[in-house]
Amino acid sequence: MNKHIIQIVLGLLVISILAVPNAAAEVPVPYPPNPIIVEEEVTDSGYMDMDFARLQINPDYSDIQIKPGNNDEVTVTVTNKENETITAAPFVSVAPYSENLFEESWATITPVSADIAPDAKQEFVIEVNIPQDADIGYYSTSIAFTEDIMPTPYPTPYPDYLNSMHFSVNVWTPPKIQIQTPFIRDRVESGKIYEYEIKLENIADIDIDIDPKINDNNRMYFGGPYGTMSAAFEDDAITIDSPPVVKAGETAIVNVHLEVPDDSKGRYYGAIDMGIDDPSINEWEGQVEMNFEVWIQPTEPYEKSFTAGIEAPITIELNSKQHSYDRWMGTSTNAQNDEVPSFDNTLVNPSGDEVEMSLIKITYGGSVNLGMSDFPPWEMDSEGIYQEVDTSYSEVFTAPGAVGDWTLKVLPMNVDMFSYSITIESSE
Amino acid sequence: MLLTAGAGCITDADSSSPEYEIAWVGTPPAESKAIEMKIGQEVKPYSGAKYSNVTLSASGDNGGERVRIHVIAVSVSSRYPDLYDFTYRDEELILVGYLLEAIPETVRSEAIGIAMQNENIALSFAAGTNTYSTPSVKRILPETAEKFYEPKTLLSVTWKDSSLSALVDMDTGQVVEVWTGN
Repeated sequence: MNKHIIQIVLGLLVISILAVPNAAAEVPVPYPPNPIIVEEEVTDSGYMDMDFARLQINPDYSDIQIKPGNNDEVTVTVTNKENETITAAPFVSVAPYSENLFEESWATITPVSADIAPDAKQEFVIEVNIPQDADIGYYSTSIAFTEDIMPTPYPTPYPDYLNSMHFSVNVWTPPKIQIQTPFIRDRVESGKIYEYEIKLENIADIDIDIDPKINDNNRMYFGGPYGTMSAAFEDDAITIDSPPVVKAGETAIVNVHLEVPDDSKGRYYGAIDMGIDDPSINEWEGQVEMNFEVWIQPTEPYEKSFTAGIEAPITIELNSKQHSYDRWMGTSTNAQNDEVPSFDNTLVNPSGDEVEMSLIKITYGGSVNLGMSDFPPWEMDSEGIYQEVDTSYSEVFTAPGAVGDWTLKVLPMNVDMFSYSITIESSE
Repeated sequence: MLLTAGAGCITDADSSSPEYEIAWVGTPPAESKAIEMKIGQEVKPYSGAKYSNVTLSASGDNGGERVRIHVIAVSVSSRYPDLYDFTYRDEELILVGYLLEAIPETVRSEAIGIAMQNENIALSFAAGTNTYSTPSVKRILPETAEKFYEPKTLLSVTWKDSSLSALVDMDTGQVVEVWTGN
């Protein structure tokens, strides 16, 4: 077997040795003229030597989904990158940090071992059989092909095999209850009351108990915008009215009642744990997520005064722009929310009279990125896929002009921010 | 399970594939059934989530030498879809691009929270970077993630306007890489 070199960080060791004179500063000690080198463990280049076989494993990560009582298999190709024959004898190395512990007996790997010549490839088939009584959930483990272990400068609770692949199995069963309203997302106004319905369909042939309640972890992750600010309102603004059971083959409705306090501002993130008595539903699937934005729709228009120095037509352009991720996606369960932006405008002439304006142009715009630049390197695989970055909406009005002081009043609807321009231009 | 003209349906016939409706937009290619089966093995939702339907469209070389397959996978637990681009040639399906945003809202919110608690991200915000826009949260597949960390699913939290991004390991609740546009 060839010798290979693995870099081991010895910087801390060197630093700690150099720190000794400083710690003993009260006694004059000559500063070492050169760093101390642990010569017996380190090569000229500062690397530690060790022996291990070098195998290329493809794929080095596998993620499969299997129902209890069923099986599936994955084929792995192992290539010997050494210049001598290597014996690969794959085995399951159970990862103790997994959500559930993968049983070694669930995997059968064929062939049991193989001598792989230099630059030769060997296929191994990993067959996984999940017992009927296995718990639902995620199982992660490693499949090691040789006994070579990554050296560590300190003891570790389990070995890190060098020639191994990560193996993940999702043991699942179809849920017996389908949550037909998986999230409640709405723009709400302070002081108002909202009613929402969550529909649950029982597709099994037995009745299933439910016990919906506000998730205990709401404040952990959803205490406001990303847990960094207080929520727009407390959980007790929401009350839930639910039947205790969803009968076999039937649909039940859970009513969610929201009374938005008068002093609410900001956002509320939370979830309702549906308390469905069905082990095939995992934590996320058994929740209905809630995302409320307390929207303050102005009732008074924004006013802008301007002076016309010439008698010429007045052109007013109003423009709103929204980032795609800030856009309300229109999945509200309350039908009264119309998210289309618009402007309600009034133009007052120097005599104090309202002037009729003509809407002459409406423009919908947007920016679409193909991910070719200005994206983090780990998003490089999204290159070539359309990504709408932002959208815009604008309206252009004209009105006959006159010399004097004017006032433009704009009441924006479903608009977070807008810009305006007022142009007084003679056609001559 | 619905079956419509020009539409197929991936069921649990092989016991390992989760159920969802699959449909073609436009004329399916000649090998549509084989492509559907292979795509059924390739596209997987975020852990714990499920796809409700998957839409496929084919374009490219009509001579059959190479077909480009665009996949839109929708999950009931997210308002954003997962997008995949594949090429199919000589019975081989190759993933050439992906943009995966079908992430449960709770996970999305948690990932943003983890990212914002990272010191580098916090310092960038303190320096005046705009924090008001909502960041994107995208799933990074293990084959990409291993180039930056480990071969495991990670989440990328990105403030595009600010050229700021955090690569988040949800298993450990840690930011493993930060990108500041450089």
